[in-house]
Amino acid sequence: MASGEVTELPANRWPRAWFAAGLFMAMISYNRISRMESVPYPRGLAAWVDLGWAAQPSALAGLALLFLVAMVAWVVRVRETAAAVVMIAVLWIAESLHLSQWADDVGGNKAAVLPVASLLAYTVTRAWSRRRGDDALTVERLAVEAACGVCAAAYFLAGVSKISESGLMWASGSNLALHITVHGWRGVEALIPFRLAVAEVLPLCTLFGVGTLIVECGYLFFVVPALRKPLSIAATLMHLSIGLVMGLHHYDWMFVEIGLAWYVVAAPTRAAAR
Amino acid sequence: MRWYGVERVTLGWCAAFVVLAVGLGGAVPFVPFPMFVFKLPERPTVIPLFKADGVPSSEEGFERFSGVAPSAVDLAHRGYECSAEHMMHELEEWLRWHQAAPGEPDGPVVVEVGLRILEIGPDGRVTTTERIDARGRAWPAAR
Repeated sequence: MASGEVTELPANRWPRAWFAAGLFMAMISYNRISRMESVPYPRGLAAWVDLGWAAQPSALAGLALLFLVAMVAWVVRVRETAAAVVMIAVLWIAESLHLSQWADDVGGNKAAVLPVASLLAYTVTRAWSRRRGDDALTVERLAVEAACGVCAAAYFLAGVSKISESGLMWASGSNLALHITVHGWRGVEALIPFRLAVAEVLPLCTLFGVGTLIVECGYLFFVVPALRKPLSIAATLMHLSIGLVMGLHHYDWMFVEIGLAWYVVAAPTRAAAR
Repeated sequence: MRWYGVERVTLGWCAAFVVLAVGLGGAVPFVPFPMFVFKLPERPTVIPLFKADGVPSSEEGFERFSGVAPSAVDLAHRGYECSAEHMMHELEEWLRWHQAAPGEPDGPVVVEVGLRILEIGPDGRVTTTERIDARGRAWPAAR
């Protein structure tokens, strides 16, 4: 890349920081593995290589620090590809430890899905575009577009998963009331009575259900740049209401979708970039 | 291709993620399917129940348990569904790692472990019943 070449629009610094905040929240979501100290039921990467060392408290602290350093480097664009690879590797190790905690396979940690998959798409596309000889702003635009494609797919599949397992009755007030009750008992004690009260109001629960399906399935349109901001506002409201009413806090996904929606990806002229 | 500004690379990654997720059913790390299902249950569903002195509490506020073994947590919960299996394992694990040492005096707090059974009633509302499987004692956790 030629020295002095414009590599980023100033307007994109904040969206990039939001995206990184999503990655940070994904890392935080693995906090439970700090209790492990061993790998009792190796799964994921741990089924192939010994990750016993990584389960030690000092190693976990080191990995967390490494992740933070890589995250800051990625935000300020110092050795960006290496930083992304480090973050993905650390999260993969964390995911493998998470999967290896219990005898029963309770599934992966969904919190990291969107942050990791979109960062991977961003990084691979960026490398491909650079190799192709594109100018820096095109490289950035295509990389962000790749991440937006993954974002659209991830939310869409979350919606499709609900319909494929339960049909449209997933959105019934009764089903939502049940899941609010299941999860509402956890977290901040002062909010439990509020959550259980919400579960009693079935029309409101139906509204939550229908709204969730519309937002998640409709997220396929996130591939259209002009629709990103309205979709992001809808998804952000969805995440905030889920956090308040169910106590399930997926700010990992929320920060990533905010960052991607507010990225300026339209092919700018050099003059506009200055 | 520029339909409403849509780039080929966006569609390509979107399609690749969907195909990989659905085609391999979650076998690839960070590409799961299904996800965030919150299934409409066909049977009563359960979540773990932990009470301290009769009040629903978090197990993490207590330690040195006596009379409540980890096996008191009904991980199998036969006849019931559970959409939050990890909660069961978290309670079981906490009890396993925080048992009282042999000969240690019983703690001052009466603790109960069981299941909270949730069911959708005929009127569509959720009814909750509690099933106590074990009763013992514990100490408040040292902060």
